[in-house]
Amino acid sequence: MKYNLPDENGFFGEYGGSFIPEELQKIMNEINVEYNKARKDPEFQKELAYLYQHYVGRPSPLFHAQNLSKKYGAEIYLKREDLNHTGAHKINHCLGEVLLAKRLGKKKVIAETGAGQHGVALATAAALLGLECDIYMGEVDIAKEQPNVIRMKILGTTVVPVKSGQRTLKEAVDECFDAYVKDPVTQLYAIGSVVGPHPFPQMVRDFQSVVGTEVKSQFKTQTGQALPQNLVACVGGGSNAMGLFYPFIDDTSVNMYGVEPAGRGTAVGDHASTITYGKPGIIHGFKCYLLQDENGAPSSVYSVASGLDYPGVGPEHSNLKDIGRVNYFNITDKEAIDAFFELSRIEGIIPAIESSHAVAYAIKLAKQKPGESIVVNLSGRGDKDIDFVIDNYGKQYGIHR
Amino acid sequence: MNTLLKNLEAGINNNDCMLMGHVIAGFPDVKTSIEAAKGICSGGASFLEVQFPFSDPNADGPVIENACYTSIENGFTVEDGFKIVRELSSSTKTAIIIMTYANIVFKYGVQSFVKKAKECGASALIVPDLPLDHDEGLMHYATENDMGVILIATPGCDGKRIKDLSEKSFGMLYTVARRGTTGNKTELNAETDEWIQLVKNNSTKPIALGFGIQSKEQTDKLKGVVPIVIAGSYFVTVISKLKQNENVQSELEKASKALF
Repeated sequence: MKYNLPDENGFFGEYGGSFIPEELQKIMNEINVEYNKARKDPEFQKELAYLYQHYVGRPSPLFHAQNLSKKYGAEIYLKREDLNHTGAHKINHCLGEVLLAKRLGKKKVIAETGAGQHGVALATAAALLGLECDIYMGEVDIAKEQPNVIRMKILGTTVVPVKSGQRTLKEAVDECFDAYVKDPVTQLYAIGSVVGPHPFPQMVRDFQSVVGTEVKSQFKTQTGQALPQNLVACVGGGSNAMGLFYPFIDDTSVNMYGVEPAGRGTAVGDHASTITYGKPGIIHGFKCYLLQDENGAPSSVYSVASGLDYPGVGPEHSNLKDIGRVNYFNITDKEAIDAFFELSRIEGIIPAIESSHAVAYAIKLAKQKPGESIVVNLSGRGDKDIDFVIDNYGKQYGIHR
Repeated sequence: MNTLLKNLEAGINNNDCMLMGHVIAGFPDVKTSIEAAKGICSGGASFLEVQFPFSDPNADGPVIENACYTSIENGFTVEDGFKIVRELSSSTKTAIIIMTYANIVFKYGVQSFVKKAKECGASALIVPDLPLDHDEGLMHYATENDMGVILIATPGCDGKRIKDLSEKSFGMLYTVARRGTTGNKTELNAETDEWIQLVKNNSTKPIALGFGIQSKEQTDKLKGVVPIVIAGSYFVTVISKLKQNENVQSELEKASKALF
């Protein structure tokens, strides 16, 4: 049976859908109609493919990490999304979303950002394609992530400081939502992951699936084998993981592993292992596994990786968990930081802390499956994290400022 | 007979301009929210929305959002909400409507939530992010329990959608005067006039017009235009500005009367 989700209403099994006020429903329907036209339009696909190749630098390499492989006993391959323009996989869907916004006749794209990665990628795509861009960001995050704030401003984006509540990501989502509801006609809310109401989980997945499609052909060319045996990717909202997994879903011989952040403990507020500890719920317009209390209030979440600390998760991941197609495990802060240094020191690649979670799990898996092939989505580079890592963990690794 | 339908019929027969008030359950605390609600009711509200706070209220603006945060931080539970509804429906003649968001209902269990609401005396439910065609069974269970779901028409709906919504909506059609979240003042201009006219021409039920009502001047203009006006952020603002030692109920009664 061929995998063919979501259904026409945007459901992946019982998850997904479109749980939003009437006002936004009409707009989502318009986006859905236009996206389905664009998807089948060779001109749209041609333009996107051109940008992927000549602007982003695709295909990104699939690198056989021989030192890591030798040390841990499996054949580990890294999909180098960290080498993309702007340093992460986010640019793949941002270009798609901005092209779609242009097609819909929008003047502006808006989005929230936490650490600033999605914000920078969207600001970049908007600058290239001539659209205005507003990025909503909590004041606390603005203070913490100055380099990305400056980058967005240089790119011509307006960074809107969010002053309510905890002044971080969740409030930024709320304020961006408010701005979108006020004017859904001239703006497009370019959601930053495989989350939100239909069609965003599908659309972002489709734009990201270039990652898995490339891996398929690169792996075959390099090894002569038809398929890799294992795929590993970190999961916050889940965009890089869906990008890697989706083209392999019908290839049942391929084992897939989604890696969630276990943070600093199992207590509420100490992790963001949504699929591991969550229960089905509805947040930000879609149904998914959700970390929540008995009253249905989303729990506070934590991870050393600011790109992974979300109380919900993509609806497609929720379904892949239930149907048993993808295995979900979690990795602690400490394991991720160890992997951050390990990869830096034996392969000369500094990974994003988010991606370090995937590397850490791949190392565990290598020990369990000696000789097997493992492809890791190295979704972003770690430059953005070096100050944080050195300030908090430098000493343990003999590094002093 | 369902209190909401009874109050609606009486108001329509008398040609009244009826008021729908609004409180956030547990804001600033359970006791004060009950007293405030009673004040709004004794001030003449025919309907009262009791909002069970959710952390991401995506149809609401900052005033209601902040009140929701406060209530949640103070430890609001869904059972507190039902307690408030029970107290109000047994002590006032106002029809009590539970307004909340999808996950609160979903987590409680849709069928259990509706049964409990009915048992506490609620007349109807409003859940903005449970859409008409995919509402997890909300309308089905509500109808089964002699209650209903009030649906919301927003600018951008065409005549056909307005008609569909109104046919399935319970008693009245909640009509949002302009784009955006709750709380900003609405100018009653040509654009809103045109929108209201479109709703009137297509709705099969009386219209409750909402968003941004703050003054008698506005409600005067709406008399004879729509049978029900909704004031939400207005009351929440009054509640948030209450001073210590003020008589909550009489302050809110005054605020309620000041709109007419």
